[in-house]
Amino acid sequence: MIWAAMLLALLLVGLVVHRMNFERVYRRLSELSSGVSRDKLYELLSVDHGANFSAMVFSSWVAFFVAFMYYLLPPLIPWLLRSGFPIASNYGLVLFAVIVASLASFLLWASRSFPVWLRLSEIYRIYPLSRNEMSLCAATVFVLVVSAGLSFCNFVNYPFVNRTLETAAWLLLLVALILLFIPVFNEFVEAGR
Amino acid sequence: MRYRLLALLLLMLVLSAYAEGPSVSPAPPTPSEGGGGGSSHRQTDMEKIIKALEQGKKQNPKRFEYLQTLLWKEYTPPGEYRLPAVLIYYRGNTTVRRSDPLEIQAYVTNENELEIRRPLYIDLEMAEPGGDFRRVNSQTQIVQVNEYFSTDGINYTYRSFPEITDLRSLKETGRVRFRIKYTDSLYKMYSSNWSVSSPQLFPVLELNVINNPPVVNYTNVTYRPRYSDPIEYVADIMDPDGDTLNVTLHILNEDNSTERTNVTQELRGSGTVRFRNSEYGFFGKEDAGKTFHYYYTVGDGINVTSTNIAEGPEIRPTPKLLVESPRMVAEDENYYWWGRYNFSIDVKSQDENSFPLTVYLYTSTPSNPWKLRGSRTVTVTPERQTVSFETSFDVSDSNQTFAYRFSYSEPDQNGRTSMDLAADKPINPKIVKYSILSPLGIANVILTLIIFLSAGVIVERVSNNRGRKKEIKGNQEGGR
Repeated sequence: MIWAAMLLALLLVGLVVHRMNFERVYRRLSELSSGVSRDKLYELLSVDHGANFSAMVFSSWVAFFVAFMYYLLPPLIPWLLRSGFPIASNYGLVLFAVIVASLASFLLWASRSFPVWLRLSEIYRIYPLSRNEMSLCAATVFVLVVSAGLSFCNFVNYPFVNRTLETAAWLLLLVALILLFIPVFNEFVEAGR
Repeated sequence: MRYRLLALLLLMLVLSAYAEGPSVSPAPPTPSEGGGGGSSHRQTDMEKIIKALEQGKKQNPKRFEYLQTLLWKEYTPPGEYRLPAVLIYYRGNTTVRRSDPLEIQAYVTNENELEIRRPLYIDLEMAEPGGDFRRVNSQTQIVQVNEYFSTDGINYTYRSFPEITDLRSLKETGRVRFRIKYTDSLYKMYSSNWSVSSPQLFPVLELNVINNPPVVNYTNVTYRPRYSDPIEYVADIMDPDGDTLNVTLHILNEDNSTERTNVTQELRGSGTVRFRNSEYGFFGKEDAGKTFHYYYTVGDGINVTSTNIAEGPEIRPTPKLLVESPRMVAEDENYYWWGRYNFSIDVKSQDENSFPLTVYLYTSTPSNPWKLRGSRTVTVTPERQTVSFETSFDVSDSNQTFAYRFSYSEPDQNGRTSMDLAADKPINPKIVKYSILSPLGIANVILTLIIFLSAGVIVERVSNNRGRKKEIKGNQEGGR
């Protein structure tokens, strides 16, 4: 569970850095002109990176949550079995993925109403992205598919959990999360200089 | 007291003559006694009488007592003393059931003035049907001289007999009489000595006592049992009088006329009685295939109630069933929960008769104890036949040991109706049927990927639409 906590902590760090980036811009703007709200500033800073990129990034975020739940699955299986969820049926895992993906999609959609720094689905709108960064972010979904596949292997062999596969799945999750936050961290580093 | 004193003096005179005797002359007075004159002589006589009485009491006490009896004179109250009257006061019906509450009181009137009244000692007597009067109260009721009420010049009072609350203890119904026996220590009297005409006052109270016979409300017996089954006769019995009942079950032979056996249980008041075959051994192996009849008799000590003859039980014939080779074969030697398991058993009739037989299969794991997996009904013949079941387990049974049971509707060669066995190893802990490289596994992975991408596209579309709407709205506001 500590590995799972580390991933969630990294997610939180990413969001905090994203907030710091935004607040820094907001403070500078406030020095020049007062009366500009954060929402207005967010709208002014927003850059549309294209529908394909957005779709891939959304998919990546959904994939992150699904892969993360797959990673957590072994300790959850007894509880799922007791609760009557058909996890052991032929398409039980797909059903599980549909439920998690639906919840994650709803979270992404609903996060548009959150404070600006918590809008996970619009995190990239205030950052100018290079082509490489866009490719990395978009490619994250495939990293997460591999991570989910490794967790899937462990699930199929349950209750025999392969620790190597488990560690690899965790590392891939970590890598994917870092890739998803690369524009945020880049901006933070750039601003520091 | 005056009369007693006179009697005593008379006694002394007689005894003095007896003590002195005819041959004994009185001794001359001594000089020292001479001063007394006639008074001294009487004193000497008195001393002699006392001495003679003391001697007589010591030497012949029986005669002494007899003498006392002869000389005793009863006290006679003054001429104006009138006998008190005591009658029975009763307000209920004269026809009563044994369980009906009963309240009998003594009504006492006493015309004498307080100074000459005497205490009264009152007892209630009862005569059962055909019997003599006997006292029924345990404690004599006492009316002291000052315990009367006075109304219109009549001195009266009541006494209750709290011990007499009903007539449950009667062993016979019919005419029961009550009267009151009382005494003022001088005269013994009965209420029956008086004659009155009052609806609630009785010199002798006559009650017509009837009995409530017990009622057998419901009876039943185990339906079509085997002789080895727990056969039970049950009867709900109610007696309004609350008597101690003797409930007897009579079981008749097959001919329905002669009695096979009878057993009795005691029941107080009302309740349920159960006669179990396991307790009394009514039926045995040789009774298989026979039909019996039964009835109950219930006696409360007075009446005996008998029920109609009812049928039961009809004991099922016991076929000669041979059960052999119970076995379980798993489809996969790894004992996966989803695997097919074949459970089978061989049955045959040990004689020429054929009979129907129902076989049930149960499996048991800690998660699903003794779960019925199915039943098969076959006609058992002298030919051996196999009864088999195909089943699989639940995912919750994985990694658990399991047992199975064949249960059959007729007893087997050992008199048993079931057979329990345990598997040699537990169900495999693996919970998913497919492997990662199987078509199903690959399909799961591909579907998962499609779900990711689809979810991303959907969220993007929904978000983009919202953004466009916002943009159009902003443009419209800017145009104004």
